[in-house]
Amino acid sequence: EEGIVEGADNYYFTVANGALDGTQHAVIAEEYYDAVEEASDGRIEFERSSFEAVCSMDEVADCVRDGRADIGLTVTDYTPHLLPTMSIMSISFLNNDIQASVEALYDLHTNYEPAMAQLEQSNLEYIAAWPVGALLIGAKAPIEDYESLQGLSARAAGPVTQRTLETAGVNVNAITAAETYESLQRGVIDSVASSLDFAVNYQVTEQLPYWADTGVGQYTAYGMWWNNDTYESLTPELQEIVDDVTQEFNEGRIIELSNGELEDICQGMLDSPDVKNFESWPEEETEKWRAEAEDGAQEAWLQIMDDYNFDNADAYLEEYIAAYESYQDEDNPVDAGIACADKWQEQND
Amino acid sequence: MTVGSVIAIVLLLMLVLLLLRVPVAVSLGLSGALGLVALRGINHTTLELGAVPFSETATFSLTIIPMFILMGMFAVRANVAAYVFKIADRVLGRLPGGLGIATVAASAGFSAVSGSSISTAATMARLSVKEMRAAGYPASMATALVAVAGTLGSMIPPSTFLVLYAILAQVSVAEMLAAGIVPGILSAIAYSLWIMFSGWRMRRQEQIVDADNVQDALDQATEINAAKLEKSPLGQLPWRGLVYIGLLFAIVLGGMYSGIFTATESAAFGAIAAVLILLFELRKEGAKGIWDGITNALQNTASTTAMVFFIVIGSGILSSFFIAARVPNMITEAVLSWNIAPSLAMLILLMSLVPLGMVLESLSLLMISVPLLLPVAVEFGFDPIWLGILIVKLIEIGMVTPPVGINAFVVAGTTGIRSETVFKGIMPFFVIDLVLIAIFFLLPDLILYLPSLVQH
Amino acid sequence: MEKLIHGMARLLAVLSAVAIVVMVIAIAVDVFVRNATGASLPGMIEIAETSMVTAVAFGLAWAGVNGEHVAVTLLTDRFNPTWARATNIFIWALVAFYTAWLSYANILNSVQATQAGEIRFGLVQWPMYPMRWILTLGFISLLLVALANLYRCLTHKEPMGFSDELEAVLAEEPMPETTENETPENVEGGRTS
Ligand code: NA
Ligand code: NA
Repeated sequence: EEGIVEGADNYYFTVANGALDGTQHAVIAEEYYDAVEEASDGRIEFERSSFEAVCSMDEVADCVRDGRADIGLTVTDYTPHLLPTMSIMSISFLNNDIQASVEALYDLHTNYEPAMAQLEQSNLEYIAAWPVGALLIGAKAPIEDYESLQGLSARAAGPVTQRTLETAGVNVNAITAAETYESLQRGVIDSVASSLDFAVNYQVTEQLPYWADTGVGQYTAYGMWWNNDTYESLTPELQEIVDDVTQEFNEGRIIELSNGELEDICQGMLDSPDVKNFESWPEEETEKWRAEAEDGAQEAWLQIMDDYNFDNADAYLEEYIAAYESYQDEDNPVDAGIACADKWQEQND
Repeated sequence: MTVGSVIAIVLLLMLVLLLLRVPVAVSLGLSGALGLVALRGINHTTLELGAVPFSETATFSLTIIPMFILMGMFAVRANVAAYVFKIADRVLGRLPGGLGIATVAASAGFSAVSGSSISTAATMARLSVKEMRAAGYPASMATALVAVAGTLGSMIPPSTFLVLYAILAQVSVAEMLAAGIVPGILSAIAYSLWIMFSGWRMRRQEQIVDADNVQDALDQATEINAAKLEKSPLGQLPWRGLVYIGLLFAIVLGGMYSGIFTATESAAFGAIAAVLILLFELRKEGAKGIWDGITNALQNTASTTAMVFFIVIGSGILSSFFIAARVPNMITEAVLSWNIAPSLAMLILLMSLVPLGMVLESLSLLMISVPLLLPVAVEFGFDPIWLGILIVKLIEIGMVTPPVGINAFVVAGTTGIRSETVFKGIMPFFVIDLVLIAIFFLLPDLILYLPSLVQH
Repeated sequence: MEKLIHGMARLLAVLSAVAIVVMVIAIAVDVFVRNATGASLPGMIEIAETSMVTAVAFGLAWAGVNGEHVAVTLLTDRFNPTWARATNIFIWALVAFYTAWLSYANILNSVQATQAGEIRFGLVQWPMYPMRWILTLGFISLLLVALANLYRCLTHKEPMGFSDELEAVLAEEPMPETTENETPENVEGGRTS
């Protein structure tokens, strides 16, 4: 009764859930399951599972690949060897138009041969990849300009982000998410580089009064995939129904849902009595950092792609930038994490 | 075959295997695996068997367990345990159950440095079971007491469980940790009162064998050169034992609270400090004595670590089966369909963790219970911090109840006493814990007062 | 053959102990470097994680030959020698079956991870697949111990490290057990019956 039932009318699919309840990622996934169930008139049903119940976060892509789960979502950089093409989201200063990022990645994974081949090799069928939210910096002292980052001891993850932060003189520390709060409390570290939802959900705002959107952009992505065999087992008619839902999600629904949820999370930031400042840096401060770090970030990313034996990462990057620019639009929604800084300023003026 | 009958068969199979003396790790893992075969087929099960061991071991925060076990082993080899219990016996010995109370007090103290129940139980088992038995405590009482006192490790901060819960439930980590203090201390006091009562009862029955004789017999029997428990005047007591313990506490706690290192890292420094103490204590025994002491402690740590995590792996496979069979969901759905008063429904839901805790591994149970219980609790208007403490307390009960009680197994494994002997002694503590849960359930302020001070 | 297996278990146990030492040192070095420079020394967490896996995997066989894998002896204590032997054969056949399955599953898993070049992003990119092989070797070593014990039981010998030497001695030693059995609460459910 579970999994793929060849030729049967109904499909029951196991979900590997790598998103915490209450995050925008969990909401996006839920909405996707609902939309597919509805569009297929209930012929496809998902067996929803709680966070990490079926597979741990860093195993989700592997679980979907080998068929323990039929569909799943998690942070793409947790299994970078399976998903190198999605690590492009981690290149600093590149992904500021979030809608363009989502659409460019969707475009490349449905049209650009090397990216498609990479995913097929991992036995995955692309659904979507979306940014986790702009990289914010939270600290115990004011961080209003590029120079003030110098000497911070921050919790951060990911080799590209690390390189970018080090350029600004930030000391990067490897601390587990669960130990971040206590490490801040006791002074093991004095800052974090994270997205808005980490800041609020892990309560680090209690320890860090000063927050800034430094304009560095995105640093990692959430991804969602079908097991390739599962997807192939669907009738052509159902595949088309699924494809339509997937397309609709990539063409705006994901960012809409994500921003909607982040606005709720932003409320946590606005309501926090501990936060003393939350601002977006003026353009010239971001430019100082970009001038120093942009090339290094791309270099670091290319080096990683080389480690994963992804051929011709330069061409892929070029292709991505071209696609990204074609989807860029002034009317595209602004990352709700960045918008949150403006709201905070309005509220506290 | 229906899912219900598969669940029944798996539970029965697990029980039979356990009773036939199949190692606990194998009993759990194999029955879980066969259940998975019935539900999902053999290929799926083989994939799980290939993935679970890695995800249950390759995690940085788990390193705290072997390192605290090692710290305990070094401390024992350095006779720190013997010294401290000699002092404790001399000071608290007049009290009925004095050494048992000292053990609970030491566990509570150690819990303020240890983030996990398993490492607290393993360390205290090394430190105190032999001494309690030498003092005439029944094996079941001595071991059960350590297994239960070990659960304080997850309640008194720092605690990996409380931090994990706070993250899952999206409540303040600081408030969650503060919330554990009062329930932790009250639990320690309740255990001590029971030990005092049973000690008093045993004395009345004049059942206590002369401590010196038992110590001699045990020394011969185990060939372990523990320090003799002779009655000496206060001045001649090995007070340096207290200095060592104080030193370990100061290094671990002081380092952690001053921001030099994290809770996980503190275990490494505890182990380093303990080996230095060992070097100092064994300095007269020459290079060979020191080498033997260190390698012996290391090898014991290695096999204890392997033993513990082999069970965690088996339990992880069993949990995969339960999740595939939707056991936790079935329980919640059933309770919600009863249509009863919110507080009664909440109580029943919480109590469902007792049978679940009997068979599920603690971390899996936490991961399963939060998404199941929290939404109901929030809907009924209960405080999530209060719920977290009750969940963690109930999970702790699961760690000492048969047939799968990891703390009991750890104590059994570290002391060489049968696990059913440990389980036999659990019953009174189980009742005490249920009473404590009733108290915490009815008086939420006991839990919520300290966190309210953390608030702004 | 049995000597060989015992030797292997011992060698692996030494490696397991070394892994624990490496774990302690890696974590301590990380703390010193962080307190001196403000930043973590990249790779130390990954080394500690690898040591963690090694400590578990390579301790399995040693715990096996010493009879340290905890079991419930409630019922089997009362078996006569014939039953006890039959039970032992059953136990070790099951342990062999389980560890063989685990070994096979982990070989498949390790091969897959190796082909995919499994890596984790921390401050450094650390290869994860060697850890999977270490676990696989650990299960294979325990499988060998189980097979050796099965052979021993079939040839009328006790399994290695039978019921833990410490426990066996304690069982013969009447005094602590007597105390226990004479306590009223233990008489009904105890082993005196
Ligand atoms: Na603790
Ligand atoms: Na239990």
